[in-house]
Amino acid sequence: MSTGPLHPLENRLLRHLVGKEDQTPELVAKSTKMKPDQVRRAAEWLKTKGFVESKVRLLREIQLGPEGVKAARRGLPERRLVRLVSDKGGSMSLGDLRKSFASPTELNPALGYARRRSWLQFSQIGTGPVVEVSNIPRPTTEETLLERMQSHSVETENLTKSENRALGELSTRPGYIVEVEHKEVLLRLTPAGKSASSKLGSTSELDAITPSLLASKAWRKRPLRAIDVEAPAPAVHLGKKHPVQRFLDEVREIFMSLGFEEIEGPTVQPCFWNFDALFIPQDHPARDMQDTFYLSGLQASQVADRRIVREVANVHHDGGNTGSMGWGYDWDENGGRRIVLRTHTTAVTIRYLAENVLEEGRVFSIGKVFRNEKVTYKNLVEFHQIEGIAFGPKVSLRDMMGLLSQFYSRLGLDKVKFWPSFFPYTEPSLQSMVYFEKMNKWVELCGMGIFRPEVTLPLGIKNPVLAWGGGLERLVMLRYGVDDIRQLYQNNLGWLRSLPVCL
Amino acid sequence: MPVITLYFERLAGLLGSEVSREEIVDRIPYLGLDIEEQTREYVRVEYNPNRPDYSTDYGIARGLNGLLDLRLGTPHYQVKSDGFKISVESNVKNVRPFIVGAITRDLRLDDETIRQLIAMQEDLHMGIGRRRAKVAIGLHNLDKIVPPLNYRAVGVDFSFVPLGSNRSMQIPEILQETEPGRLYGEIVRSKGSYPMITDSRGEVLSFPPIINGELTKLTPNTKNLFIDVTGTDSKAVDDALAILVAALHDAGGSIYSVMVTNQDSIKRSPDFTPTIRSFEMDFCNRLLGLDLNKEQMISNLGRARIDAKAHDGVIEASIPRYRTDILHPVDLVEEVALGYGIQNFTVTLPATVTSGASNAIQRLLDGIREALVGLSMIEVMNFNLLDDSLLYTKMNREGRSTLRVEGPKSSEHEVLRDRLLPSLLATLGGNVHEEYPQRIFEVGKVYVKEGGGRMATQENYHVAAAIAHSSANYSEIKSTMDSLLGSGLLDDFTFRTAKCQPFASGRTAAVLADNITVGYVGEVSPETLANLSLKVPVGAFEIDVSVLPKK
Repeated sequence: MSTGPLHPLENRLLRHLVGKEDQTPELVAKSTKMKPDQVRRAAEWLKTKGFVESKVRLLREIQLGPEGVKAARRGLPERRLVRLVSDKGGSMSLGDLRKSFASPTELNPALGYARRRSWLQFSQIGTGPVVEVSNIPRPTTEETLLERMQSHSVETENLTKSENRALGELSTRPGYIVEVEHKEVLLRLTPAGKSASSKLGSTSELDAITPSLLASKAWRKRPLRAIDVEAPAPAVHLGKKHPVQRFLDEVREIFMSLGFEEIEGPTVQPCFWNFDALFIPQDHPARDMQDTFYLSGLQASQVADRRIVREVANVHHDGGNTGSMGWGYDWDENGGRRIVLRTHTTAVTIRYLAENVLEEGRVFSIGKVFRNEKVTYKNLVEFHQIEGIAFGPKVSLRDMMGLLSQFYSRLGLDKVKFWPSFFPYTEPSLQSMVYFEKMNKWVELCGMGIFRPEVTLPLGIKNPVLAWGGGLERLVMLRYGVDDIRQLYQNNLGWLRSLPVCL
Repeated sequence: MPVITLYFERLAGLLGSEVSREEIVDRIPYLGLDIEEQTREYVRVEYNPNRPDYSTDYGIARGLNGLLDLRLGTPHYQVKSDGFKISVESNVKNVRPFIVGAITRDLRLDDETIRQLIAMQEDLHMGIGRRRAKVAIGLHNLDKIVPPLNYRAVGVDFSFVPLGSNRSMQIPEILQETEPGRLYGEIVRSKGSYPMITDSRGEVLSFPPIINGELTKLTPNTKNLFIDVTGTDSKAVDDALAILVAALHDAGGSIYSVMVTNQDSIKRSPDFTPTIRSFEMDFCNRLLGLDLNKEQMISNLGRARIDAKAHDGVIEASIPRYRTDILHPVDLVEEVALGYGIQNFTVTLPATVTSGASNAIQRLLDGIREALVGLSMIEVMNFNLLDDSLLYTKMNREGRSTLRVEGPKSSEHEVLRDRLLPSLLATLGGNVHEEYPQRIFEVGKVYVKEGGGRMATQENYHVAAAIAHSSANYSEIKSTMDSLLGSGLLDDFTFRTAKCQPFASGRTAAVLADNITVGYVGEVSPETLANLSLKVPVGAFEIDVSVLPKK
């Protein structure tokens, strides 16, 4: 433990204890105008520094018991007896006394005590005994002691001989006197404390640098009090971005560095862009309410350009002029007007390609997508999807594998595996997994493919379009070591505050 | 996606030569199958819904034989005929118009074969069959049938003994009392008459797509099968039959055809004539980024179990009938890639160079985040879908949300938020045990119904912030909002007394720019604080970023 600079409270206590022995915190508080709690705290600090030692003194105190309290308030029973008799003219028959003395059970002891003190005598008049009092006696030591103890407890050591005798007398009466023990802390300086106190700076040390101090230039004459710079300081919390947002920013930066431009689009889409334009037939199971969120009672009045709607209808029916067989059914435009929460960001990219007919380019989008699923430790109802597309007259499947490998490599993932897969709107389609060094495991990430001609040709897109996409949260979980996907959006402030900013 | 179990012991009998377990497991992904689980005896794989022919180990063995160079090219199926007939009456036209069938003889049905066939039937019902509405399949013991068969629609009082029962039941009872009746009755109930397949004695084989008759139940001793496939789509019933019969053939059965006669036509099923489709070699090479010659293309297609020949830069492929997924030449390009082996592709990058760019709205939102983080605020992210009571009742707002989703699996996700503040305040409510002061914000989309527009809804970016601690008040949150707005969002804005839940009356201001309300700021009302079990005052604001004047 460092003995470093002393806190002002320590300073005051140390000063106070110089030349004094056995000071209780209460006593110190009284004479230094510190609060008892401040004294106790300062004493604890100084004890750990070895400047102050404390010993505990056991004190025996006597206090009034319940009967004692009563007697102190109302007088001893014999006193009340004498008072009653003298109020009635100095004599009363024992029979009358029995009727008028407040508590009959106390009468006999009261008579006994009073007779022993010769405060009254008995005589036999007529039919029965009579009690006579000649004069009102002066208060006894017992009574003064009782009186005093009503407001203070007393320590046996401080009593005079006669008081001690009186105390003995009172103690024989049941319930008058109780004895309590309590501990008292006594503080005094250790030799180290004594020498430290001799080195204490003058009381004229400056507590703080203040504007008035600076104006008065008093700092030239008085030194600045040293403070304990090693003591802990209260916590303040950083402002910071959400970890998912941070990761999203990182992904965005990688896309841009690879020559991709960011596009934005609606989260709420007509089925037309989420399904139909992507050549997903209208009776496809993925379009079930089981998996997709439909907005109730809503329809888009116009989903796309008439020409595009007609071409999409044709491609579903018999392939139109795309060279495909189509799905062989009559496409229903009303089915395309229903409104869904997008199930993939491909709804946004395909709409972008339809609305901006371009020869070649690279774009990406990041956004929330929705699945009507039960929430579990690995599934959310809404999550982020990242999607990159590259298109041009000469792009190929190998280019797509190359672009995705480059993307992974920027995330620090250099081992990638590809294998065939299936998506309704791409052909060929692949799936990829990457190796996480830290966890020593392969994790399945992005799926990818080349948009089918049934998707691109009706929208007027002539060149092949490479597309890949995947969930973002999986990567965030691996980055922050989160096992339960729900934790990401619980927004627990303790967790958010604990996350590092400098990674 | 559907999952099937492949036993190594059975696969060994189906592959053209001895192949190690490791080699099988190594190749499985390159057929487009995902391995779910692996033990010493079996491997469980998930297949994609475009390949229903992979719904038994027979189909997967066909693919593996190709990739392992054991059996190449289009498999051939011999179909014999023994004059079995189904006559179709015209009254099925509006009920369930299409029927095809096939016979297999001399099958040895062990337990696992029966299990595989039933799983395949179920997968076909769910996939191609669209839960039996489009296609339904019946498997029958041929030896109990006296041909020819009759397919017609019957009235509601028709009765027979359905599979699994010991007494005759009328149609309404079957639809109500049997499990398939309850699950699929909806498909036929509205039509008023019911499809029925009977034999020459009038005994019922099947009431498609609901249930078979008890008469033709399969047993482990059944050797000869009759298969019926009915449905509402002519191509789909043919597809399902071809896939099923190909598996039965590979299981060791001899295939016999069935003649289906209508008033105006006669059709023989199953038909295994391959479909001929062609594609240009150049198209294939450009799409894959390869430079394959015609021999290589033909051999790669052979490995994908497709026969092909080449002429004048065009490849002509004979597609086996069970391949129902090949709609366009591009699907054959993928077959070339699979035959080539995805693992053998090396990666390249596109030759053209592009420059990256960010999006203006995202740049603006980033600026807002930077400003608020600079004000020591922590960003939180809440869901776009939440429960209506948080959005309205708990905020003391009148009414209920208009943007509701149909059939949500959880009530926590029933409406689209029209503002950010409710979930932001709920976040504070979930953090009452964390240290105060709490300073949080959220940037995100909110949704409203579009007034008569094309797309039905409109979505806008909002930003909301809240400060909670024992002495949080209006002036503190107003300072924060001032700083944010003044950091470049608005050149000029005014605060005007307003009323807006969940803010306390007398402690609420609207923020105006060019006389348009762009947001609200205030102290959250004690009612809302109580609704969210918050024990400290909260100052908050919300700004609609989309209505800020463009600069």
